[in-house]
Amino acid sequence: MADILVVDDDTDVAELLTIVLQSAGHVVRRAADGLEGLRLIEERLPDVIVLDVEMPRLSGPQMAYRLLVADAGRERVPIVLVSGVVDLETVGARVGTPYLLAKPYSAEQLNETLGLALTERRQPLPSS
Amino acid sequence: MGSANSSLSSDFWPVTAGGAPPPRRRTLTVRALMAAATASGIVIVAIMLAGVIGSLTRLLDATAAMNRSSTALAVVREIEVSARDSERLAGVRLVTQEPGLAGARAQARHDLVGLFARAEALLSSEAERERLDDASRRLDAYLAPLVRPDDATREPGEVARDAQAQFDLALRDLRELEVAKAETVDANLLETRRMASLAEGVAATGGAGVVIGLLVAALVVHRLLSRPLVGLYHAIAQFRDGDTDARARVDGARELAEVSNVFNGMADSLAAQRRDELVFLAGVVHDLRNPLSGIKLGLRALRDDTTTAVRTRVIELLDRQVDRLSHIVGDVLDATKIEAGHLELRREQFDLCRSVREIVSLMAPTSEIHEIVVEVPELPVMLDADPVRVEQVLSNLLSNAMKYSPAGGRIDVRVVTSSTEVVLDVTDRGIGIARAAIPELFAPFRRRAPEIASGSGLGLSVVRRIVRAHGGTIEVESTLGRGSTFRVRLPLAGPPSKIEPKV
Repeated sequence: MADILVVDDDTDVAELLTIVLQSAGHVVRRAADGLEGLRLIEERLPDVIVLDVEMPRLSGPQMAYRLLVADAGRERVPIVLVSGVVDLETVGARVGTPYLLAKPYSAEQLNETLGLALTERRQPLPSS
Repeated sequence: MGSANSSLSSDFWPVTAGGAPPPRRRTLTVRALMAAATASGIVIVAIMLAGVIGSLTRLLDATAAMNRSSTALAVVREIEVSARDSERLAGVRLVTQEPGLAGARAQARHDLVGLFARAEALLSSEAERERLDDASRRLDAYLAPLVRPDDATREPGEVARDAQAQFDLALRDLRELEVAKAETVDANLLETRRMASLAEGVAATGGAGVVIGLLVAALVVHRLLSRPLVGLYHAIAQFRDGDTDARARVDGARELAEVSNVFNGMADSLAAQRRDELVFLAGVVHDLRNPLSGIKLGLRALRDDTTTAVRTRVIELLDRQVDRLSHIVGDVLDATKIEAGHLELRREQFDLCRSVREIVSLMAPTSEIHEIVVEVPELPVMLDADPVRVEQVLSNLLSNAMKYSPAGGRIDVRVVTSSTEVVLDVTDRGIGIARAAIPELFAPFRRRAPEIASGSGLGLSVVRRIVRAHGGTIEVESTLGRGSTFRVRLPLAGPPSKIEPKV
């Protein structure tokens, strides 16, 4: 089905998400922070990135920004922003992605947003 | 360090916006106001009374003088009349030489002496008295026995002319005296009128002064007392009715201004408290979201058709999410209890160095990017404290050190003892704390950098509560961008640890 990169420092939640996605037939790789996420993207470009916001070393928005400034085609990968922060819309606008998943989300919401991201494939367009 | 120390010793619920003392305003105090009002009232009344009494006294004096003068005038007139009577007598005597008239002459002289004495007593100036004396002498000479035995040399006609001349002079004196006295009476009358109108004026001015004084006092009382008081009342009522932005205007008498200041500070702190509680709630909700997400995903995974191995793993992960949830709930409960002031210590003798090593060995594996370096004395450092709470302090400080050094790096944990206390330092090389943020660092529900660290923001306030409950202190030294050192000082259990066996 799709090649998905999950970047989340909450390893338990990331693992459960991986299991759910895998049982739906996706290929899933996991990273615990932005730096590791960048490394995995360099190895192979995923179809979509499921990205947490608050992470040590390199946060989600910071990682998205690096992808953008690198300007090597990787910035075109759609990003699904996943977080429990209160103002997810603001962060989403900063990153420039329309695909947002507020924790805690249901499997239906996950499938819907992921499906949208995979079919529309809108690349992140930061507002500033 | 001293400044940080003093700012940390502020009360547990700090008056946030009122942190700096309000600027001293040079306004009247109610006490000074009352004193000024009383003093000026007394002065006004005293001046008024003195004026009225003074002018009345002068009025009485003037009246008395007028009285004397007019009496003197009357007496002088009487003298004149008597003198004219005796002239008639003397004229008869000169012509007739009747010896029978000698008795009447003596009687006239006697009457005149009495009148002159009365007049003399009533005259006020020396010149008047001299003139009166002249008149008296001349009249006396005139009325003296006409023919004396030793005075045979003189002719009766010559004697009579002399006497007539004396009499005319005496009359001239008396008339002049009358004119002078009449002038004095006029002057006295004028003075009396003047004094009467002065007394009237003083009384009217005093009355007007009292009225104006009362008006000014009413205005001042309105400005300094009623208006600010009503303003304060409205602010309090508004605040009570839920308008957390309502503040009193700081004006009026100093006591009222200070009350307004205190109310504003209280309102600020209540508003800040409410805000902090909302932030705290948001923090707790944020913390609950991750395990809840995990549970939702896990249940979904169980519903999917998966292998037994995966199902076992999912159940294991679900267990952990439930643990995380109950842990968060426990933390909130704990923090709430400590916030409410219910902190019970279970004191016992234990070795701080051992606790430090245990906590560090538990926490070190939770982060790959941090290196925790422990430096403790070789001998045990015995504390008489609640070991669970002290470990909570240490693990809170350590997890903060990790949270606020997101780039990783070294974290030092040092224990140093003196004869009376033990000092526990936790030093990170993280983002540091702005100087302005230090005073509120230990207030509950404050998160230093919400974008970096999640959590309820209760950690440091709990730490300070625990340290204080043990009779200790906590301080912080920090440089923005270079890292922070949290220093906990706890009193030692007793004499140095030599007595204690090595644990």
